[in-house]
Amino acid sequence: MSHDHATLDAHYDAAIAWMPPDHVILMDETAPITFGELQIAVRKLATGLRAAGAGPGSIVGYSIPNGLAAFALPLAISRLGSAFMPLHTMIPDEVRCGLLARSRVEFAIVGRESMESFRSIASGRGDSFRVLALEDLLGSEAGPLPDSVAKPEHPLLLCSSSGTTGVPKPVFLSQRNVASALTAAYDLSSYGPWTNHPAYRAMIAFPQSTSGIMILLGSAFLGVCQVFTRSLSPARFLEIADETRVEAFSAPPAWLEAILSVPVTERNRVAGLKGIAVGMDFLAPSLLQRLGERFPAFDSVANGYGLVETATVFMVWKGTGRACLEGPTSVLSPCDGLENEISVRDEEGRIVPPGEEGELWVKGPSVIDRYLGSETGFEDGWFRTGDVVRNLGDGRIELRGRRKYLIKRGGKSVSPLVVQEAVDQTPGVLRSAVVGIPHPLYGEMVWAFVVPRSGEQLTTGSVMKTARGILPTHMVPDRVEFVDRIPQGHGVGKIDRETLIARGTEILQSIGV
Amino acid sequence: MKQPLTWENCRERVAGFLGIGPSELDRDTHLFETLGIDSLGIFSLGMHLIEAFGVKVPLSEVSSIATVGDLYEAMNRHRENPA
Repeated sequence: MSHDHATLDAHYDAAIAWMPPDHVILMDETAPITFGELQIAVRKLATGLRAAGAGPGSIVGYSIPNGLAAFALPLAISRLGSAFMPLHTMIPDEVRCGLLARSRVEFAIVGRESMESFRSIASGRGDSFRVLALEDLLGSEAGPLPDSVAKPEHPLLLCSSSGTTGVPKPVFLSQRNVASALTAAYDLSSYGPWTNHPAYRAMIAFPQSTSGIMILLGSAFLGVCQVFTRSLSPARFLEIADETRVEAFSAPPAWLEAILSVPVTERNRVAGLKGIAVGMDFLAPSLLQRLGERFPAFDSVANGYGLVETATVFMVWKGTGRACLEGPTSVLSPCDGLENEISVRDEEGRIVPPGEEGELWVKGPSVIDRYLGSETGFEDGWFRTGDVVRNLGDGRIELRGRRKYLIKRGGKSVSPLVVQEAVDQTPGVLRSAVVGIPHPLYGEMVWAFVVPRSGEQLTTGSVMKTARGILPTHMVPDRVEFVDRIPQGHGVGKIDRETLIARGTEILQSIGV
Repeated sequence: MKQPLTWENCRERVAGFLGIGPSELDRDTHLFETLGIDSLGIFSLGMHLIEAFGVKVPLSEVSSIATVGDLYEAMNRHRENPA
């Protein structure tokens, strides 16, 4: 089967051509969803959206819980020639409306229970998007699947990159970028002899994240059945995995750490777990070894690497057999089936010889054309990842260091500048600095160091209240530490992060966690 | 100086960490669904409580905590494990 498709529609059509409608491709906890049911949902949503006025060039935002509709919507929206923008439901309504308006969406799809709140916020702010109830769209007739009008260069997925400088930038992934991500997901889903049989069952954490959607659709089109849940509890995740007898997990390393902290019971052994597909962060061999102790049948790993600008995964490390749990996990090769080129360059842009370190550059179908609002694309199409790697000289690289400043908390990137901006909105805050404090469970914790205005009695609660009202859950500070001044580094307005990190590490040691 | 571990003190500390009123919390208040804390956020809240009460709950038990009441009971079970 060829996986070389240039649009999401072409991937979907290829799946329709081979997959029987009664094939179970998703499980909403223990409830099976067949490919036929997904197709009907896609047709209903496409019919309802078209009737509402969506068509080529429209941008459709949606913010709905994990479920069949959340996975059918990207396919329906793509089929109309429109683009989609998913938003997490945990973000406060005000913030979601603001993001939708700034992104110039024409339609916002939410559950019926949120409609009134969205409508009143949007009309109060003078936003022009139309709010549609998911339930109404799903009540539409399942009309015929529209003929695809998508071209590879059309914009398809609007999301936000944390940017190589730590400042978030809006990004449009094209049809070609998303199609490449699905091809990468096929590669990431095939990593042990046991994955060759017609269908295996996997459980995915965070299915609605940008990378989650693409992994889920990609693996589902390959025939893998992906189990998901609405719960954010690692204990519940394991119980469902056990009950549905999954053979694989797809999750970031921090989620796997959380899973390992759950005590083993008769109901959460997941004894049949053979493989884990990891991504979004460094994968430590020590984590694999501990997972090997927890899950006796676990012997296959796929570690995907990528950034939003590369439509998530474009490189992968795979290992099979128990010996692979020793690593090395950071030696990566370009994904099969994609024509991406990589090169390792020094600061002047010269290619470094094998064995040397440099910055990873990439060019090809996975790479975005440009940032939204930017006049110019990347020079000759080469995107500079900002990640430091060693050139192994045989097409492979070894990942050595992450981009500067970004905090990696639980596998998710947190821009310290965005958190700082939120913290600074707390009445009584003079200034603040946000840094990542290393911690084995989190990767890095988000700490806000805050200088109160003179005479103000600030509390952790007042800062947290502001932050919780503005930021998505994973970006809310893990700790607020009040200080008299923010230490300054070299350069105008530069924060001395090292001193703050040392201070945070010292506090963690004194608490004993 | 550590505080005595009572339900009222615990509730006040949890509310103080989140920036909400103590009356908005009861024993059944769900940490994930109602308060919107993620799994790592529970550990961050736990760190705040360790400092207040000097009681440390083992990592293996933190993952089974779902409500504010569960959190209080877990700390009570480990009163003898000073941080």
